[in-house]
Amino acid sequence: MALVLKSPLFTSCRGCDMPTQIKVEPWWAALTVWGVVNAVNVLQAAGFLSRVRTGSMAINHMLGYMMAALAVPAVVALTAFWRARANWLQWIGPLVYVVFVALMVAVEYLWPVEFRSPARYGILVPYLVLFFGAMQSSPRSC
Amino acid sequence: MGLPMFRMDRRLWLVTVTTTILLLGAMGMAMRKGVG
Repeated sequence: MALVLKSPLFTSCRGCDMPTQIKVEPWWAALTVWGVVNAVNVLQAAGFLSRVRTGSMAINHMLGYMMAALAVPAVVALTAFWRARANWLQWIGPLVYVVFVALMVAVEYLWPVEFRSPARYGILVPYLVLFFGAMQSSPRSC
Repeated sequence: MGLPMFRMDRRLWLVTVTTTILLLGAMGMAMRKGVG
């Protein structure tokens, strides 16, 4: 039986006449996605800083395994959102992240190819679009 | 994945803003060093 929680949070936004109650079902899936995005942000920031410090991709490459592993909780949250028939704005982010991880594993680990320098735009552009798209996707306006 | 939290919990969303700034700052440093 799936654990389904509703957020007890209420919020209001400037410019709106009425306070808006935000219900997210399941709430734990939203928290999981939040945890994944912040973990990825911190891991990749550490990866970039390691490149600055060492001049190599070695540490960033190891951190990539952890980012790939974060696809597991992303899939769990994605499945929970689908089962709860959540709005697509809730599940598009983790879905894009899973697609990004599949591309990352392919071009960084399974069939390594240098695409950053010299730039191979056929790989670099979808790589960056999927990464940043996954991190910030699902905008909801007031 | 970061923006939905804006409507759910503003404090948690601000954590995401902070880590995103950290990521972009680190990426900028790496690009300036030619290792981005």
